Amino acid sequence: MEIQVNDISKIYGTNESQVIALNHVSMTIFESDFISIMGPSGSGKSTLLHIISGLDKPSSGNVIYSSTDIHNGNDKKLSAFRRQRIGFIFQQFNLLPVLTARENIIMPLLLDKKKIDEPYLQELSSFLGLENRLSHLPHELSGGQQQRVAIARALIAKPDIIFADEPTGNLDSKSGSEVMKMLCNIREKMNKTLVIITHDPRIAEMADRRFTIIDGELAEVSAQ
Amino acid sequence: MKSYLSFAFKELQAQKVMASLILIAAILSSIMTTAIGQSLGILQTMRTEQAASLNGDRYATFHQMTEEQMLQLKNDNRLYDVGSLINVGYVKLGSSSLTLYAREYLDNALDAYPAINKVKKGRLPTSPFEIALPENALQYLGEDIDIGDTVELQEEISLMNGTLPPYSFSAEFVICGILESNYIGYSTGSLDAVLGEGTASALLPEDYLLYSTDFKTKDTAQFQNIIDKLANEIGLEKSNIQYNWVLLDALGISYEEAGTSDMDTGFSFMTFACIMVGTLVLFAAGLVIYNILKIAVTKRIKEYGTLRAIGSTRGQIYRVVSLQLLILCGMGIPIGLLIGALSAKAFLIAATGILNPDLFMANSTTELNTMIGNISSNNIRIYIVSVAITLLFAMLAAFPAARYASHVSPTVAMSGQRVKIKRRGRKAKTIHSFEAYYARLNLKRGRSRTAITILSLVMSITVFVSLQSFTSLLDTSSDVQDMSLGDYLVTNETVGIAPESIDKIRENEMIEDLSTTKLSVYTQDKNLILNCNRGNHSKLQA
Repeated sequence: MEIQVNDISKIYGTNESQVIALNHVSMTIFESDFISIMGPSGSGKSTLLHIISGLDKPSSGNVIYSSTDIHNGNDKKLSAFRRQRIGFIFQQFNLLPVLTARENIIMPLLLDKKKIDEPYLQELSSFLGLENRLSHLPHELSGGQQQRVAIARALIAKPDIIFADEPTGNLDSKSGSEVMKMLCNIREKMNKTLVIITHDPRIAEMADRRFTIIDGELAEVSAQ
Repeated sequence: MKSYLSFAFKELQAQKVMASLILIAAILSSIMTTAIGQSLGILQTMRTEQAASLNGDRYATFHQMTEEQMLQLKNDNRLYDVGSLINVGYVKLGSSSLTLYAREYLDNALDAYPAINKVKKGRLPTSPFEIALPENALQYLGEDIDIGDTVELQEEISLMNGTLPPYSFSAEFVICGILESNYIGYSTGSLDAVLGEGTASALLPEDYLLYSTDFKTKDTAQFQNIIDKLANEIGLEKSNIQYNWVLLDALGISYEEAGTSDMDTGFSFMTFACIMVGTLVLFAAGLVIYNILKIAVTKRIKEYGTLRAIGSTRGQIYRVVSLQLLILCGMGIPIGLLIGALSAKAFLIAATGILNPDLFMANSTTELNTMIGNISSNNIRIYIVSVAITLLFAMLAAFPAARYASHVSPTVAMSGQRVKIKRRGRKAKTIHSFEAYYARLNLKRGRSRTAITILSLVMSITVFVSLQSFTSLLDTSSDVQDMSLGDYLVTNETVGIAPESIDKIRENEMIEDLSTTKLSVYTQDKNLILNCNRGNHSKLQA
């Protein structure tokens, strides 16, 4: 697995109100990479994540995922790509409030009409310390627990790569570091690629490859 | 949870107010479609039944036929319910304008005339020279006559083609039964007596022994074609074909002499009123569903964005939203069907009760209500159509919300919805009242939403006003009078009423309204050629 981001730009608006969110950005993500992208608000880091993960389309350039241009296909293809190859972790957790933790976790499989791999679900929930929380609704869980449910949901379909958009942004520092620890453990144990967006330098430093983005221009800080 | 679609059900459980409001809208609209569908079905059945019972359960009648021609019709496989009768003669009843027609019905031909064959006392004739008389003819035939008595009738019969002079004869008949009177006798000036089989051949010379045959055509679409072909085949003149326009109009069968009749005023008025009220209610319910669902979806747009981000397709989101409505319709429609079906008759009785029963070809409101009550309204087709219409409106109303949810960008899950505002007029103005200013801006920012809200307000008011004016229309006796068949009826079936006389009557200032019915009157010229003239039959309102 390899993701090639080739010269992508994203421009919002036209003429006078035109905003260049990404300016000719290129990068390559290799298998098992742990990448952090750091930048101030409005620097274009979320836009970059949206485009790499197939949530949004670039104005120009392309994203090649194992020799397929992910944006060159219909909505069904792109949805299937997100469902099967990608896991998301959001800053606001984004759990569906009417569903229990378990139902939230298995949702990507339900959408894909796949059978639930019960042993894997057990393994994930015990690893994330959620065994006794599976029948709880999101509002009955703490922030840290909710984010752990979200991590389980991101992993249930066994994707190649996990994208995390400020995963600790909504957590206190204790829960935040707990969540980060779990994420790192999982990445190592399951050999997943992880791309994390943050403006917390401590989190950025945990990554193997660190990028910064300012005014839509991406730069790699160091390669370890 | 077995499928992502369970999400729809859980969403509903979580949004009880939204679900209840939509459920109520679904129940109300299905009550309305069912009650109206049922009412329309009842009205149509009633109209057909009434038409058949009052003017004969037949599409057309061929008159003045020989036995051979009659048998040809009887054996024709394009026809059914074929019944023949012989006009034996007619008697003027004393000083009244009534004429008693004595007819012999062959086999089961009398079955087509439910208005005639209601035996009040005794039985129908079975052997020659037995007679069953209508009750209201008795007073003209002698004092205290009853079953078993003998009456002598001075009868006359003439042929329509006028090749022979009228034939007069006198005969004695034994009364075997008394028939119930019907009010058509008075409005058309004719009463019907039934003679036993064999009477005609015993009394009439062969030349006067002619048959009239009633029938229906199996193929109603080809009705006129079949009639023309049949007349051609058996060599019958056009003037001998009689169309039962009351039934043909009621069934919507097209025929040559179709005209506009006022017999169906009540039926078409009710049909129009039903459809109008139904459409308005459906629109109002549709707008309620649209608004509530759109608001509900907008409130949860981030959830739909999340679903999109974790890989649901647009179609899946569309199904989740539509399913929410379908679940509510699934609960609401059966309830609505039940209430609608139960209330349809009461609804129709209440609505028709204020109209003149004449309009529905009934004698009295009680008779009308009995008629409505007797009609079996469990027409499965009407239920299916009601469900289909309600579902169609509900799904149309849900479409914008479902489309909105399914087209949400998955980035909404992360960054929230960007609010785009188009605002003209950005010059700095003095703001007198911030509340009013901000309220106005808010209304302007969602122009389509504001338009829909105004439209739904207008719709609710329209439904209210139209129902209000509908009932007041029914309440106003003057309006009812406009539609009644008239206060006075002037009939002259022998010579008709000349157009000049009608104009004169119309000019009279005591006459408020006048309507005429055209009857076919045949006159003979010097060369004994028959001409068909349109006579007149007027109704007056003073």
